Amino acid sequence: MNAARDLGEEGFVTELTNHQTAMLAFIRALMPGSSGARDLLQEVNVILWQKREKFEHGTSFKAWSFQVVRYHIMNHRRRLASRGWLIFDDDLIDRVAPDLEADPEELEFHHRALRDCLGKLRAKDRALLEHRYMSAAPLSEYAAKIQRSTGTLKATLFNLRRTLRGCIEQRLKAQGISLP
Amino acid sequence: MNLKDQQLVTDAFDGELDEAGFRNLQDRLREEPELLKFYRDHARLHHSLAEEFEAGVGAQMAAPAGGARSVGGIHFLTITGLIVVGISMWMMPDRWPHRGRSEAAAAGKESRSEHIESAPQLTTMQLLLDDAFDRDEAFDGSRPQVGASHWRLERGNPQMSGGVLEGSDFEAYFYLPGDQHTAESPVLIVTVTMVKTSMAPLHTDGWSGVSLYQDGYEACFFGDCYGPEETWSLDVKRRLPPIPAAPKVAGPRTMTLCYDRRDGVVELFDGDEPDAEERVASSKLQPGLSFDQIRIGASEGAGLAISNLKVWTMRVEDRER
Repeated sequence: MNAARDLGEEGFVTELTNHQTAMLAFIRALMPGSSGARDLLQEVNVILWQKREKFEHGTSFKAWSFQVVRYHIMNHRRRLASRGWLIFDDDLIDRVAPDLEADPEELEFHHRALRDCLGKLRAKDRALLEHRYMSAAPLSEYAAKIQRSTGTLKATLFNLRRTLRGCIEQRLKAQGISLP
Repeated sequence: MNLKDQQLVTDAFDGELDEAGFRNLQDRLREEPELLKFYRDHARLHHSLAEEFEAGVGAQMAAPAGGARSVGGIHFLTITGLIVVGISMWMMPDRWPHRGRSEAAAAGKESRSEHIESAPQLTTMQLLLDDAFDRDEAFDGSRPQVGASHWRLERGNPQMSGGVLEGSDFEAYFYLPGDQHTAESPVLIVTVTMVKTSMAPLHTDGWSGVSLYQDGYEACFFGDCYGPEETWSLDVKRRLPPIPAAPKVAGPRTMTLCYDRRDGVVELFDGDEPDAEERVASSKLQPGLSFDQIRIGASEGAGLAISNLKVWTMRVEDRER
């Protein structure tokens, strides 16, 4: 293996590592509510690795890898849909993809702001979010556990997310960070 | 944006839309830029929340190298070999000098700050923790030779005897001062010396090793990861598989981990210092992390015996890239 190829593979692995979270966010946006985003990311990782020779060092890894994500979802729509996952139509993917592609740095800023905002929540509100994102159990089960109605918890989740969106926006603005 | 439209989007991400509802959402996203903007914002929030709390799942499971096993399922395992091959070929540029063992021997553990004159890149080191585990007292709550905190045992019952801390199925934590790993001292180094133990093997299907934490989240692990591979590994907890040492490094020995918060590069070295010739694994974490806890431990069936653990920060004035 010659030195130039080694250098290319070094750059490739660096790019692949740095874009994992952004690719996952992109997949989640194209398949809202689906539980298989991580599995799909791994499928895409395999494809990207197999195609690594086609990636030109110095070009945009984000553009290249996100295109592979789009094509992979389109090509495997039927198989993915058979798992009960909701996936955007091809024409909608093409139309909205540019709006849904976030840079790794953007996501990092966003996540840091979210952490700050989560720190301001009441313990019981944070616990509700933890249940929603950490547990596979239905919300009704958690509602029964804490003796609240499922409808009340849904409304609380809705309000919490709205609060978090506003808080994140304020924090980013205060830091002079403008996300598209 | 009215609340009903917002609810439509949040329902989509909560998996509460049927096919007709999803069709309606798609039709409207094609036509309504304002709804698309809200969708994008909510998608970003949904992703960040998922990342935040799914990382919490990993921390709660207290399975340092198990992150690779606990997420991703079959497809994750499928890519393990591919990515590992790639990373094993990832030859990081040298930020560390090539040095012999003699300088490390000069790094006496009694002093709190040291200076390596023959390595111009490496400047004053600030010891945050230095423990030879040679105290005649219970380990839980004991203070090391150097360190501003004490050990906190959260599971198991390791024994400290004859200058060795030895145990199986245990976890112990130590708080690191947060004001020492800063932009001024961006490099954190952890050196652990493991020795043989008759209690349980280091390499098992479980895990045994050292983890660094920030804000309660495990960011990085090195030691024997989950799985049958009998080698030291580096696990950066970014849902990539653990990176096995290349060449393979097996058995109790002295290993050194370095994290540079300026660019997030984390590297594992065979030996008691960061010597570029002894680097066996490298990867990336987020830049800017300031670790506030270190954990040592082993899973059930796995053994960990440590004779020395040292954590320090250092400045790197002129890095060779």
